[in-house]
Amino acid sequence: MPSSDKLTRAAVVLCVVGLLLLLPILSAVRASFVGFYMLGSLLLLLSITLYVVAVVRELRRGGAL
Amino acid sequence: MSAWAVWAMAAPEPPHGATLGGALEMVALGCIAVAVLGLLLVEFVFKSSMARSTYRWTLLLGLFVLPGVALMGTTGHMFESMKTVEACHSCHVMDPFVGDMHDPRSATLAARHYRSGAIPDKQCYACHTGYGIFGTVEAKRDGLRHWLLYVTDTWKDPLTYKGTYPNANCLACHATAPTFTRVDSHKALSTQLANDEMSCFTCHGLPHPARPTRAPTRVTAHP
Repeated sequence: MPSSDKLTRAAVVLCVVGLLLLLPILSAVRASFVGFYMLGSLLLLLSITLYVVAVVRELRRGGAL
Repeated sequence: MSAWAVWAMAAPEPPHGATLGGALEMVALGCIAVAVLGLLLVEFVFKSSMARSTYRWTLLLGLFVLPGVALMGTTGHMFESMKTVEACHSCHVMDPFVGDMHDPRSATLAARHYRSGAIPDKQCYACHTGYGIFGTVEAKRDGLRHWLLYVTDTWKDPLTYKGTYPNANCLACHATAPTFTRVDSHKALSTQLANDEMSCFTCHGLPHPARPTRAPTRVTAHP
């Protein structure tokens, strides 16, 4: 299992990619752009999940949980 | 000048100034820009020099709050943009229908409503009332299914509509209009029309070109 820092970094990267994938739909509504929007939303969800896992792991290691 | 042209000129002008879609676009763009820049700087540049608590709070903002607002803004903007005919037309399967609507010689219901300006802001969902941000679940489900068929190039020609078109879509505008209520046959059939036991199209014809009169939606090598 990767460390909390690596999970956090992965969450940041996924979030950045997810946010960038949301951009095309703001310029025009196209079928492919809707696909990017859906993929971007999925990546944002995944990044939040990774970040929560990282925080929980860190709290456990620190004895807070 | 024809009666349709006079009616079209009398139609109200669309509102000018800021729109909800434009405002949501700005909000989403701002949040995305700040979040992307902030996350990259915090994670890859300033992480080692920041206090752990500040780092965590910044990530909380960059990973939860800003993306959440950006997602809401993007979704709202997308739904606002999808109200326009241009959005529906962005899928070339719609070409025969939008082409017919823009045809000044077409006598279909959609074309006549479009020319007359009876469709506010030229929106398809003026008649397809199930769509829009607060549309029906069925419309959202069908929209997703149609999108999947389109992007995977698996739809079948000729297109056929298997559902029913509720009269409520027509009656939303016409039910209280004098031109509708004055007609004796409408009065006589009011119960059947209200209960969808008889379709408006039975007397008034199809709203869009019938299948034999429109071009295929996909160019095939072996027709």
